[in-house]
Amino acid sequence: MSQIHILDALVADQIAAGEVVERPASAAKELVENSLDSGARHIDITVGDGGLSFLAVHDDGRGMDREDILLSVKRHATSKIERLEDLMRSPTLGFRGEALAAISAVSRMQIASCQKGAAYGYRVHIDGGVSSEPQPCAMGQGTDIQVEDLFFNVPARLKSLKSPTAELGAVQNTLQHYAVGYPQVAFKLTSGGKVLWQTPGQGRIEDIVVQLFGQDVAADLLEIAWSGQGMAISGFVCPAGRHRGTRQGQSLFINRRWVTNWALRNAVEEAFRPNVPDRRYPYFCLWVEVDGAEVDPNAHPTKAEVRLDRERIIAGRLYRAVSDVLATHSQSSPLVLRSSVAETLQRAPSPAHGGQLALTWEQQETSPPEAGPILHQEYRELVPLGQWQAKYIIAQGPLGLYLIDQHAAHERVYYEEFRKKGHDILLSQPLLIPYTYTCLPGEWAKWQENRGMFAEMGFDVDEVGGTTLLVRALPQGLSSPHGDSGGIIRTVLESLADSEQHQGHPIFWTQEARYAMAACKAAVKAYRALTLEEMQTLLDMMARTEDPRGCPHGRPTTLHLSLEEVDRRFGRRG
Amino acid sequence: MRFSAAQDQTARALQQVVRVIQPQNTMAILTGIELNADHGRLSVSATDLSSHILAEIPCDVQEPGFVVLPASTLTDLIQRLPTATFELSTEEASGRTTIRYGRNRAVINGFGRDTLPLFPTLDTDQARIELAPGTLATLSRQQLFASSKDDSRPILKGVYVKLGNGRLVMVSTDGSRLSHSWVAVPDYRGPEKEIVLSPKVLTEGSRLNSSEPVTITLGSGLIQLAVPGVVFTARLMDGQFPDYDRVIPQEFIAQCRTRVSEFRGSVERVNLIAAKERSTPLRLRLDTGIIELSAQAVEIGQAQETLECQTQGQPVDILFNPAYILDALKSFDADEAIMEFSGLQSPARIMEAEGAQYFHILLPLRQLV
Repeated sequence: MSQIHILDALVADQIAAGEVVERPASAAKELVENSLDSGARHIDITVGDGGLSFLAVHDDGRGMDREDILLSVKRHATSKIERLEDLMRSPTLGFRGEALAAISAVSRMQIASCQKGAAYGYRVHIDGGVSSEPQPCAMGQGTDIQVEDLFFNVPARLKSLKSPTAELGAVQNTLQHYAVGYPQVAFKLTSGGKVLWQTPGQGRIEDIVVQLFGQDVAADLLEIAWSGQGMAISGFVCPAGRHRGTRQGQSLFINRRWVTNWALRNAVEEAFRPNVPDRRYPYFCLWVEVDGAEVDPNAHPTKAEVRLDRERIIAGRLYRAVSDVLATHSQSSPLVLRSSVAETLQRAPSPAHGGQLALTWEQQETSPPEAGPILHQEYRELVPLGQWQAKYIIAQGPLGLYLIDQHAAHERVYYEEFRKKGHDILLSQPLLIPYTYTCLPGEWAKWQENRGMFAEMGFDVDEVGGTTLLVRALPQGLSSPHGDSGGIIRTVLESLADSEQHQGHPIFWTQEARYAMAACKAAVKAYRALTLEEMQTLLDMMARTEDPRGCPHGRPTTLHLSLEEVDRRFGRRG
Repeated sequence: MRFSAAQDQTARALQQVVRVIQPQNTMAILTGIELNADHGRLSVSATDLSSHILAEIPCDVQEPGFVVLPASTLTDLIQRLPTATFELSTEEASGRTTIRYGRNRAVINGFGRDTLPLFPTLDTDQARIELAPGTLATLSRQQLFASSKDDSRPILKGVYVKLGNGRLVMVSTDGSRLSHSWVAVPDYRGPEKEIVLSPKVLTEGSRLNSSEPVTITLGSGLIQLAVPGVVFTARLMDGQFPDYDRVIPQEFIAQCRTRVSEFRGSVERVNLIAAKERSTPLRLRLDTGIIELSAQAVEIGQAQETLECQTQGQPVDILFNPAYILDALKSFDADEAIMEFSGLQSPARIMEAEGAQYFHILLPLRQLV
């Protein structure tokens, strides 16, 4: 007898369920996606015991007829695509025809659906994958799916689930993303007879954010809209001052599909730096529309991860779109436009070797260091009133009262100064005895992409076969931060490899931590008494920094109390 | 074990060996000094596994034996003893050691029956030379600053030594500068030897060699430095030292001869400006009869000095790392130095005007515009 046999359909479905339906939240996700795909305008989700005992999704979408209902729970039965090419261009969220089959294989399910214009609908019971004969039933247009006793026939999975409260939390988190992502659809989430939240479905993001994150977050929304280069970015962000300890306030949609994409998320978070402290996460909800052919959503069973063409370009664009919006936003601490990557690179030294040295110093006009231009007028207008706790400067300005952390502020000033000097490296130290460095495969790719940049930085490197480089000269004054055994060239290659984390000039990436450390050491510390003149000078220096809002470690430098705020608190208004 | 010994001799011997002990050790026994008394002699030894040092003094042995005692406690105690002699006795099994001086005594817990890890002994005598007092100190001064301090090319942390043709040649380089010195060893007639020493050998050697001639013996993978009463043995470094010969320029386009003290003073003053801003180069301009040194740090200011000197060859306008030039000048002992240039992008050579047994090579900086 042959040892290999084909699994029966039910077992195959149960296996598929293991991947697609991890927990009630993923079942809810699949069902809601189906509803959205069917063009529903109202989706009601009812949950019992965190979805373990009961999960129902009711929508007013297109609905299904008798045959469709029966087919819908068969594996690879879908209305959404027909050929492989459709998958690439699929405008719908689902496409595998797997979800209903998988959920029905591990639960007791009831599907009732009625097509538009039909006099009545049909109801089917499916118990552990075995479906009953459809019975006519009375109902309005739409589909109603009830899932009971999820995982009743997979005890091991049932055991690995968390408490009903935790599972309910997961369902809520998942649905929130869809609620924010589809403002034109009215969602309602009910649990234990209580409506947890509902959205009006009138297309206004603010209404939904008020529901989910509260009035104060909704009041701060900054809108983003940008298109070009074959993509469109829209959505909203909150100012950097608003952040939370989890990424729960973040949603990213690619072609209306909610996804987690590490590179894109990082690019957005980078735009908020340095004003969001470590391990705090900004709020954003962004839609990216690209050509369907550039997205491959079929990379992960739950479709949460997608493969993207041009991922880095999109990431770069997202970064710029978000930082532009943050920059134009002016509230408690006004921002400036950050220079783009391209501009920073232009300021960097360009390559040239040999030839004449620059003019001798006698011929060169040198003047004492010029103070940079004033970039932040609002800091220029601050007048220090005094010092509090020998730690904070109290200052007043036209927009209200300011508390400034003297150490953080001074740190920011030094940091920018060191960073600027670091960029001015114009010298290359040739090596008497060149050394070889053999790149790891990943590093070799980085090297090939960035050869030109290495020359600009002052490296003189030859390729000597294989992935081996012969290093003939190094940029002077650049050191590898940890006494790295591969030397500075490895440090730079490594920082290029995770360049999604960085913006600006590559010299800066490798030295960033050093500058921050040096700035911290050089700056005045807390508990140092300052005279009014010293405070004024510090405030003037702040006005000349590119970004006075945070210290290089991500702490804010300034707290602002507006006159309106103070008036309000003293009850002088209204 | 039981012996009595002179306090001053013992203190000196302990001082000599305690230096090789590393400040941090994962093996506790390596923090100890081994005492070994037999045949009227006390030998004290210590090791860090890459080198081993042993000092011997005469003593009055009542009962031969050995013990390993914690180095710093023993050394500090013996140094502070008020009496001219002391008696040390150890309980064989436990390593508990009592030191009696006059009417007083102290007890130190030793490492029981443990001994220091065995260090290989010099089995073959492949080459032997003797150097006059102070020779290793001079070589250290000329070499150690030029060797590499970082781990990216470990072999460059060592000092290359070539023995043969009546000369002992030493070379150190960190990749961008190089020191080259030699001393005559007329008595050596053996085959040519090439080894790489860890800088520690030179540092220890120059201490031992400060007032006494040192005998250097090479074995397989080991080097031994001996002065009367002390033997220092170290492992040689493994690896291929790069071929340095071809980086030493053979032809020069310009030359100048100056007083070291004046030159050094000028560089130090100009460097006050340059060092304020990192990666500021020292500009060196050579014209007939003068050297002009200058540096300009955009936000700090500028400095310029002109030195009179003897010059030959073409005018030169060249940039150097000021720290490198200063290091080289500090390594000189002579009154006058000669600096030679082989081109704007090629190595320069700087050396003492007399003797010419030592020269230093350094590469100019390249300006990116």
